[in-house]
Amino acid sequence: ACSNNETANTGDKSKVVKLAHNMNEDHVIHQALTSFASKIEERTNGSITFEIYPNGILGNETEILEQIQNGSVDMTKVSAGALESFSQEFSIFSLPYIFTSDEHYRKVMESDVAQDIYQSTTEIGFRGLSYFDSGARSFYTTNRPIETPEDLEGLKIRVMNSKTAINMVEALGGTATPLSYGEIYTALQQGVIDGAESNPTALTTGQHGEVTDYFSFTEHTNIPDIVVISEKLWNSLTEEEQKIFEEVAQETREEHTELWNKALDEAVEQAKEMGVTFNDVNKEPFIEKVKPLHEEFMKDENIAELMERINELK
Amino acid sequence: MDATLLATIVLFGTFFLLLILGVPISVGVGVSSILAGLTLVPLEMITFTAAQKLFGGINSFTLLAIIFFMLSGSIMNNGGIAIRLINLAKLFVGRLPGSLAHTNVVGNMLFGSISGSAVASAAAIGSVMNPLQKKEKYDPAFSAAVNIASSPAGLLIPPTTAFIVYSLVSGGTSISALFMAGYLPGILMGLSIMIVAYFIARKEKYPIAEKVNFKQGLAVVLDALPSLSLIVVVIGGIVAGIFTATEAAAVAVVYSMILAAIYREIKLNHIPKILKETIVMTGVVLFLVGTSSIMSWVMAYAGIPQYMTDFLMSISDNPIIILLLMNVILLIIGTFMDITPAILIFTPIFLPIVTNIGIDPVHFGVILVFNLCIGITTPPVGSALFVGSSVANVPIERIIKPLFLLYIPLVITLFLVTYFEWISLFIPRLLGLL
Amino acid sequence: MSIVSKIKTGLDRIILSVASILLLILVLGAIWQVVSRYVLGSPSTFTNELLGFLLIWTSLLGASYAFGSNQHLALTFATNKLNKKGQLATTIFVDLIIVLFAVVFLIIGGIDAVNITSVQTTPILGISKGLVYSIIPISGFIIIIYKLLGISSYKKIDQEEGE
Ligand code: NA
Ligand code: NA
Repeated sequence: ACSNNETANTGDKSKVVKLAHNMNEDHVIHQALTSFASKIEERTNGSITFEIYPNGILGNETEILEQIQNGSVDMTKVSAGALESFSQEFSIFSLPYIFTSDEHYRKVMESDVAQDIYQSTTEIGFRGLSYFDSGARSFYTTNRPIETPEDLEGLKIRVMNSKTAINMVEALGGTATPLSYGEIYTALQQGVIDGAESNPTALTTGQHGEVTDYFSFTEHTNIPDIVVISEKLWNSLTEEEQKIFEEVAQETREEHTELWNKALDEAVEQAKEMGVTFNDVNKEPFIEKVKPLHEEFMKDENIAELMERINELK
Repeated sequence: MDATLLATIVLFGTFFLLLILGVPISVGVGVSSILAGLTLVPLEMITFTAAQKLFGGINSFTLLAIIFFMLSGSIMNNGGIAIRLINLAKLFVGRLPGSLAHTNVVGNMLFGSISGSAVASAAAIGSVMNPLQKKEKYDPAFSAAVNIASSPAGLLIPPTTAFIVYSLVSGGTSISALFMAGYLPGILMGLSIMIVAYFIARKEKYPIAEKVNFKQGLAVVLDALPSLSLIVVVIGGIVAGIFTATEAAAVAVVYSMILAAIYREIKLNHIPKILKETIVMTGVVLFLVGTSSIMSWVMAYAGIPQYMTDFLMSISDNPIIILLLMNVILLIIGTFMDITPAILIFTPIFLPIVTNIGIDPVHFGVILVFNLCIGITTPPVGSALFVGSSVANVPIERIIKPLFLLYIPLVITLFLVTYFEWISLFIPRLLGLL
Repeated sequence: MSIVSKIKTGLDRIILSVASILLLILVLGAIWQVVSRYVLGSPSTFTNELLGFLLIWTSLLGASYAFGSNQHLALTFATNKLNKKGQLATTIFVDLIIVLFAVVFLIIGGIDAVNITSVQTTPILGISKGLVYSIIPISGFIIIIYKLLGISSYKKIDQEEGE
């Protein structure tokens, strides 16, 4: 019934997987998921086919996860942040400076720590299958660049509707302002907020570069995108099919990373043309500032154990 | 049969059937969506998703603005604001032939602008103006028609809940831009009616109001000033980025309470009535918003918007023809459907088509609302028509004839607004909102 | 006053009182959001989520009340042309559809939704999302009560016909 419907009519015996996500059709995520779908169709000889619902037409991330729980959708891609309200263990990804480097991040994501977090939601009807790199998040601001935490003092920074994100901005000295994504552009333009935080593609896909002066590479969080699959679908797959899903997820991740890095570079170039100045940042004082936040998280036994395992992978 | 076609037939077939049988629109939307959904997914999925979408459809900070504008509108209706704005309108246009008709139009533009409701405006302005016009020997059917035809101007002139609803269903079109885009079309709507009224008044030799001296004029302006400054506070606050549309609406509530206190027209025992009015209106409108979001989910799931796009594009890919077709369809829809449900149901279908042919979503929002504004003045179902007829105490059958004459300027203005996008987009562009 | 209309008046009064209080909290909360940002310089982080939830409660209570007093938008130009008997028949039909809708959509779907979302805690307030959703089945029950109380009015329509 939707963008991939030409593949959906391969016969009555095929299992049709409904995959919904909220990116537009030009986004690298859509390309990666489309490639994921066609590879699986190919390797299962058409016994599993996909219908892809892009653009959030079935709902926002939370709504799609609920539809997966209910069974009307089988797979999705959501930010790990959206999974926080379903399972606290996912909130670890929103904790600033939990990863010390890109390699550390990848090592964790490919370890069984990530697998354990993925499976923390099996009881409520879905699990993480794999991840896509979604880039490091940094601050971008209108009036001054962020070089030290002091520069955030008194600035109203838009955050996602997440307790961890609010606490992070406040720990760093800024004033957290939760706003919906669609409001960011006008809020920056009109000075309702002084900045926001995301990866550089926000400057171009959301046109925020038009109303932003500085992008400071604080790289405070690395919140992955998670590919989620319903338990109902997962358990209905044969072992062989499960293996195909895992292999193809891995392959498409690699394809995606390549596309994504290219998209990031392009976004930076394009944003420079829009008049955004980029600056590197000494992260030490920032890391120092968020230590109390880490300690706060360690109070939870489960989270503390996960954090220790993450630290061991440094 | 093609699954999309089947879902489309079930959806609209049962919807119109239930509508004709007198089922509330919100329930008709909900039930037909469930039935259409059943052609695609099992019952337990559709019932859950229905509840989820009902919740998600209402759970929006933006919609809060609608409650607030309704509350402030209700306070104003009870707060002695209409008569002050009528006096001001008379000061502006009183020297034209048929001055009371023009006063009625400008009064609707001013009061509708503030209260954001065509029905409230038709009632508040009409109930003052119609008796005055009768005293001066105006044809009561003519004065009722002028009141009815001009009452929706305030739905285009901001602030207006119609654009808030549109902003929401269109996926976040800027409310500030929509508000600014509504000014010229709304003013043109009023002016076009005044032009026709001018010629009729000259033919019928309707009287001209007496000249007022400077001192009297100043007193009228000063008396109306607190009401008018509400517009400055609300619209100025949104455009300057001091507050969001929702917060502006909350400010409007507080401001209108202060006004009512200054004018001393609201008594303590009016308050429960005002609250009740607001709660009922909110319940009716937002429930409709909620059930419509299940309908748009079903339409998306079944691929109906894409289907409609392909269908319309197969007729023509010429923007002029497509816009013409859409205006005709929307005018027909408007004859029987109220503004809010029509925006909720048809935006998801039409917006992809118009963006496909390069129409700005803000411009389309204005076209859509303008069409539906005409719709609420037409039989068989027109809220402004009903209210305007009842406050004038003239049966609808008698109003129809003069009203038809007034549809001509309305439709001409509609087509100007449709085909000259700068009428809508000039002000938002000037202010850098686009 | 009959027992039926006594119950209805009581129910009306409860719903309107609760909704009025919620409405006032909504206004104050939104004003607080402006004041906290501009006057106090530290934007309130909880109002956005809280007001969104209260909005749903207020709207659904208002909608339930409007079902009780038949104030939802509907087209009546066709049914108005029917004779008294036809009007009675369509009134009963409309009420049946409303009850069916309340059972399937609001009660069954609503309880499903409460169950599914009860595992979530809301991002800012940290309350169970199922709790917020519970207004959906609640409003379903209120609507059904109203429609049951309304049955006695059928007799009135029928009697008018007999006169
Ligand atoms: Na208005
Ligand atoms: Na109409």
